[in-house]
Amino acid sequence: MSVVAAVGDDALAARLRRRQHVARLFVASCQAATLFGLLFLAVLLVDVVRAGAPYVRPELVTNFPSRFPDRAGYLSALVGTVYVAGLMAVLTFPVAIAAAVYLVEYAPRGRLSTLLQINIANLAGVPSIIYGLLGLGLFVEFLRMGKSVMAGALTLGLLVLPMAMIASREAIASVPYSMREAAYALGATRWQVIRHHVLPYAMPGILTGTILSLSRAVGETAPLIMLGALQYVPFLPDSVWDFFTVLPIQIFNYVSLPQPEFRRVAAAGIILLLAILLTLNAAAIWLRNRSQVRW
Amino acid sequence: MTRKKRRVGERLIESGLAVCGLWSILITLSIVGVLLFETVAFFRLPIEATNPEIVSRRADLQRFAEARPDLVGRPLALVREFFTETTWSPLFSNKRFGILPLVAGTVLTSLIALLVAVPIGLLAATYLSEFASARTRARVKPVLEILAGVPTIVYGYFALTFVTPLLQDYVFGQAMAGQNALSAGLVMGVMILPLVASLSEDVMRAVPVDLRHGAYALGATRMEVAVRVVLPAALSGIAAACILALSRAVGETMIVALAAGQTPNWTFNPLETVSTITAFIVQVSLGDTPYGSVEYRTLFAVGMVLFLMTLAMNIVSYRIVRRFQEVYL
Repeated sequence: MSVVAAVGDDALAARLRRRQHVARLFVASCQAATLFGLLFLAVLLVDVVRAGAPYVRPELVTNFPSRFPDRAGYLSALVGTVYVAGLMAVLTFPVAIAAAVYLVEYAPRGRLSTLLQINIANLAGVPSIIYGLLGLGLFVEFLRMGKSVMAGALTLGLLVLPMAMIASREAIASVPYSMREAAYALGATRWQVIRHHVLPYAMPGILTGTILSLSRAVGETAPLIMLGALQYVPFLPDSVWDFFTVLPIQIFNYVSLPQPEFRRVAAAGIILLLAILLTLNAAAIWLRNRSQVRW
Repeated sequence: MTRKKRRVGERLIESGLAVCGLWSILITLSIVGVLLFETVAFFRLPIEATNPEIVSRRADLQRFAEARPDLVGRPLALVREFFTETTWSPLFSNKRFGILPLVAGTVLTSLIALLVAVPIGLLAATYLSEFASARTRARVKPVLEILAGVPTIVYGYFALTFVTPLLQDYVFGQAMAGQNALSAGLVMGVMILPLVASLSEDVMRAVPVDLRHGAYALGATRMEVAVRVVLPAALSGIAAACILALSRAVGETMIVALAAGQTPNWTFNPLETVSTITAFIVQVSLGDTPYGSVEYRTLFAVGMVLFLMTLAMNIVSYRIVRRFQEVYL
C-alpha cells in the first residue's frame, strides 16, 4: 500500500485499500462460517444436557419403559442395543475384513475389481432406510425371522458392511509392499504372508475402522424402526429370535409422546447414547494414536 | 506332499475370501431384487383385483377394490396416478396414490438443507484450506466432523424441541406449524455441513500452489486468490461434494420424521407440515402393516423411487470426482 502511495497514484491506492478491506471482511465471514458449526454443536449439547440432566440417575438404566416419566427408563433398550450391536459385530466384521483382504491381496486388477470398488462405494451411499426395507422384505418376511434381534443384527450388518470394508481396505493397503516381499523371500505362501505379516500390521487400522462403523450402527435408528418398532418392550430378549428395542428407537418413542416430561426423558436418553458413542470414538482414536506406525 | 497340501489350502482360503468379496454384489442385487419384486407387486394390484378368486381370499385386495373401483383392471391408470397426481393417502379409506406430495416434501427439505450447507460449508472450507494455520485446521476439522457423527435422532430431537420453538417465538409466530419443513431443513443442513466442508477442503487443498503463486504475483489479495483462482479450479470437486450432500439429505430419515411431520402436503411453503418419502416409510412402519397389504407394498414402491433418486446422484457425483482426479495427476 505504502509502495503504491509513494508512486503517487492516489486512485490506485484507494482501490487497493478497498480491495484489502473486502478481503478482510471475507476472511472474517469464513471464520464465522467455521465457527457456526462449532457453535451449533455447543448449543445442541448444552440444550440436551440442560433438559436431560434431572433424569440422569440410576433408574434411567435400571427401569423398563413406563407410562410415567418418573419411572421410565432404558433398560430393555440398552440391553437390546448391546445384543444387536454385538451380534452384528460378530456376524459382519469377519466378512468385511475377509472381503478387504481379497480386494487388496487377491483380486486381479481389472474389470471385476473396478466393479467391486464402484459397487461398494455405491452401497455406502444407499440411504439407511432402504436397508430397513431390505431387512423387512428379506429377513423378516422372506426368511421368516420375524422382527427379531437376529433380523436387526443382519440388517445393521448389511448397512455397515461397506463402511467397515472400505476402512479395512485402506488399512491393509497401507502396509508397505516391502513387508510382503521380505516374507515371500523367505518362502512364505501368500496366505502366510497375509496371516503373519500383513494382518498384524494392519490390525490397529482395521480395528479403528470397525469401531467407528460399530458406533455408526449404535446410533442408527431408521432401519431398525422397520424391524423393532414396538412401542413398548418391558422385557429383555431371551434369545436372538426375540423382539427387541434399541436406544435410539426408545428415544424416538419418548420424543413422540405428547407430555413435555417425556422430552426430558428423551434428552436423558440422548445423553446416555452420546456417552456410549463418545466412549467408542475415544477408544478408536486411542487405538489409532497408540499404534500409529510411520513407514 | 506338504507343498501340494499347502497349495490346496491356499486355494480354499482364496475362494473363501473371494466369496466375501463378492458378498457386496449380492447385497446390491438383493436390495434391487426386493425393491423391484414388491414394486412390481404394487403396480400389479389393479390386475390382481380383477381376479374374483384372489379378491375373495384377501381382505387387503378387497379393501383396495372397494376404495378404488376405478383402478381395477387398469394398471396403467395406477402408474399414471402414481407419477402425476398430487394426493397421497394410501393409509386412509379414500386411497390416493399420487407420490408428488412426498417428492415435494423431500425436495423442499433437502433444498433448504443445501441452502444452509453449501454457503456455510464452502466458506468454512475456504477458511480451513486458505486462511487457517495448520494447527487450527488440525483442531477444527475433526470437531467439525463430529457434526456428521451425531446420530440423526439427536438432530431430530433438537429440531423439534429447540429450533422450532425458537423460530416460532421470535420469527414466524403462529404462521409456523409445530412440525415444518424449515426447521427440519435447517438442522439437516447442519448435519450435511461437514460433508460439504470436509470434501471441498480436500479438493481445494489439492489445487497446486503454483496457481496461487501466479495470482499473488499479479497482485491479487488472499480473497481474490481464494475466490477467483482456487474456487474455480476446485469447482468440479465441490460440485461432487454438494451432490453427495444432497443425496444424503434426500435419504435422511429421523430428522424429517420428527421435525417435518407426516402429512403429505402438495406445497412448497417451508412453514407448513410436510411429509417426505422417508418420513412416510417410518410412519407406515410404526403401525402394524401385515405382509402383502396395500400399505406394505406402497412402502417398497416409494422406497424404489428414493433408491433411484439417491443412486442417480451418487453416480453423477462419482463420475465428476473421477474426471476431476485426472486433472492434476
